[in-house]
Amino acid sequence: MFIDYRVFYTKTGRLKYISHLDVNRLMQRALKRSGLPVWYSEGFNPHIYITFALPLALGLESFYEVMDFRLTAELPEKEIVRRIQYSLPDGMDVLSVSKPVAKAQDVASVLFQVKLFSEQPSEIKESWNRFLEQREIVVEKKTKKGIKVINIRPDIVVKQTEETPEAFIIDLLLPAGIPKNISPFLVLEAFESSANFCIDQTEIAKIDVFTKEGKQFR
Amino acid sequence: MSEPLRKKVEQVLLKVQKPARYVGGELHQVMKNPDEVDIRFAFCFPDTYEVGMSHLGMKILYSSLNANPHIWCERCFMPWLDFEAQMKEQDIPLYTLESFTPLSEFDIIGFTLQYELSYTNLLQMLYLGNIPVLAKERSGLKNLVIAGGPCACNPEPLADFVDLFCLGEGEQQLDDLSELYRKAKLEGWSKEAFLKEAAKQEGIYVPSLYEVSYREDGTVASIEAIEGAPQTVRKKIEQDLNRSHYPENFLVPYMEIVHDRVMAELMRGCIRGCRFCQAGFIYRPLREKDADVVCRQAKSLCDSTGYEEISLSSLSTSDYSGIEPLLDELLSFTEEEHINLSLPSLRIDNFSEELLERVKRVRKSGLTFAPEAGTQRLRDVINKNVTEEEVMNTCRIAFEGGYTAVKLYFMLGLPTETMEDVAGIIELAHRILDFYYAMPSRPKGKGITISVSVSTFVPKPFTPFQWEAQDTMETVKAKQKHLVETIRSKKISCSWHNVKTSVLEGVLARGDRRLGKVIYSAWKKGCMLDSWDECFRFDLWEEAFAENGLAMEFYASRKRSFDEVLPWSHLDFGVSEAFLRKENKKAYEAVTTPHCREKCSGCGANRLMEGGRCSVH
Repeated sequence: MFIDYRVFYTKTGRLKYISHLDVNRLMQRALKRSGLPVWYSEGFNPHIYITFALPLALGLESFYEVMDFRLTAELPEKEIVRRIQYSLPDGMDVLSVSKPVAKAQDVASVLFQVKLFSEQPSEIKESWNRFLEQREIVVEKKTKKGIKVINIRPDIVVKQTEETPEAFIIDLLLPAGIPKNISPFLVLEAFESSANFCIDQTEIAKIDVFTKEGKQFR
Repeated sequence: MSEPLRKKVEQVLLKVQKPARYVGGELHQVMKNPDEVDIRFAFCFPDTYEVGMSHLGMKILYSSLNANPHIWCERCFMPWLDFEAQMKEQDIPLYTLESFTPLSEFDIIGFTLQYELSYTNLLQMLYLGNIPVLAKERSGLKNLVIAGGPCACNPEPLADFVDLFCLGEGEQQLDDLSELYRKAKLEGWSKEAFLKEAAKQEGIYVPSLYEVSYREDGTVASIEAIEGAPQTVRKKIEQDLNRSHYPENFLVPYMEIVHDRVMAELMRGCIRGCRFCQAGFIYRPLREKDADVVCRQAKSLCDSTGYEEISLSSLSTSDYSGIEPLLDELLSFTEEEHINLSLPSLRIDNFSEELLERVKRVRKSGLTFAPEAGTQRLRDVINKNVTEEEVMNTCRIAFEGGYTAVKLYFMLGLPTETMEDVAGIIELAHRILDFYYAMPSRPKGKGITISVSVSTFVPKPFTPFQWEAQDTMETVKAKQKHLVETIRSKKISCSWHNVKTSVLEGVLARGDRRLGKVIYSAWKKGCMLDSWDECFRFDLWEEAFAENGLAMEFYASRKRSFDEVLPWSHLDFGVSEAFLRKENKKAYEAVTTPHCREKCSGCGANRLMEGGRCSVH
């Protein structure tokens, strides 16, 4: 018997350079160290059962990571938070632990914050607006079946933009999950090739995850 | 933490493969306030992160150095080519992973020498750290470059680059050396004054305090200690492993490394005395850790790391006197806590059914054994006390236990080897195959595979074969060809190492000080990461030798006489030269020597123990 739990956590700082596979290993070991009564898969080679709602690409920070795991006994959520937090490295903070509300398949979109650093953020802003005025933005997307040519303009939803002295910041809502997945890198590549300018540095962070109904994924 | 440097690094990290190699921040990394320590120590592993992080010695010394409140020890590794190109482009100096501090800001820069082919990496790491590679160009006490590890048993080829070598085991030794350094730093000593004083400590070898002269034929005429340095430097060992420092936690890397598990050290030294094996001699005398200590340390490491696997570490696991009770005790908690136990370095001759019963509970993959030579005569020459009957018996136990993949390790180019011995390797594999099919109780419905892995024998210092000629490239190639031609079954596969790598390894292993110039030239030409096939440039090494008027053959394929002054003859690793000569003569008579527990053969390593008593009775 087991009880499903879901942990929400961040992945920031140096940890943005570790891959999804590394996180998988890290979490197995963190749960082992936590001393929680974790549930092991059955079979020939038992291992701690964990599963992630959405793998995070290398190089991104995240303020809303989601992982499911199982315990063999019910424990107060506060206690679970405390024990997992104790076992995690710097750069990973537990936001909360609760029993899953939505199913992993219900994930529909992700909110990213994209920071484009430049000496002239206003130029980037202008180019971005021109970029969005296009009716079609055609890109090549690598899939398992080969390279597909798709129009991503309908998929780009801009929630908010902000101009600061050193950067132009875009809050970008993109489809994510099993039916459709558009990476912010894909959007940025298209943007960069559409305009003639130099971005000094880019920072992308995952801010939030939503379901089909537009509710926060819990 | 150097924030500007970290920012610079971050800007290039997404342009390189495996960026996790270069950011640090792993679980159990040690952070200290630099203002509160007297010594900043950079522990440098002259290979990539995933190789260096797998090394038990580094884990032990990182932990024991940081246990000292006056020292902050940080880690530094050799960058891969892609990151190195970015470092050059963006003007990023080589830095330590803990604090992103450039190497040039460290007091002591310590290298571990695990493999001869990492020597150019030592130069390259100093260079990338903006530190002069030549010892004579570093005038101050700061940036003291030290080195230890197995290759330090003949440190001569690196004498131009390294200020001092630590011979033997580092736990107590580095503590003593650091204490002296601390005093020197606080009192403002010169580098020369410090080195002179350090040379008085047990196991500390300062190459600049020895003058080497050569004969016309290129051999060493004499090695003279100057300025009061001891004429012979004896290695330092830990007297009692139960009391030696052992880490309570390991750094747990994020990315996958070569050996990603808890390592429980059982013992140091080996009772066997296989004549080709350098580790078997330079780590003598045998010292075992008590089973309850091993068990306690393994358990505490599992708790603190969350690792899912423990590996037992020693030169010959099945020779550990308490192996069966130890396994029972370990298995009692590993099974409960879903931890795997792996047992490398099992021997063929004492591989009992009881042991297999326990091994089966923990490991389901293939079995690996090392007969080392294909015929009984040659196995007697190298003192690998294993008979064919024992090989077959082990295989029977393994097959009955359900194993159908056998991996066999051999060496090519052993002293006195003939083509008959070479063919014997494959003949042995064939007889194992025949034996398998003749077994009525063999596992049904499964095919068998026998992989034969053949390395090239490289004579090493402090072994009975230290005087021997290494096979030339042509001879090795001819023998490899003969091997392949002898295979008559598709169930037997055969693989080997790059011969050129072995030649260079042999040259550097038994080289003298004059090789410093060659290493320097080769590095200037771009040689580095030599142990990686994709980076190894034998042609550049050949050029470097030619330009410096030296020949590889002189070092690798020349047989030395017993009278020759060997470049490492002023160093004492416990085993006496008289013993090594005796063993060499017995090799040529194909006479074996019993192992230490059967009968003491007076190797001399007991002199390293307090009171002169060896722990093997």
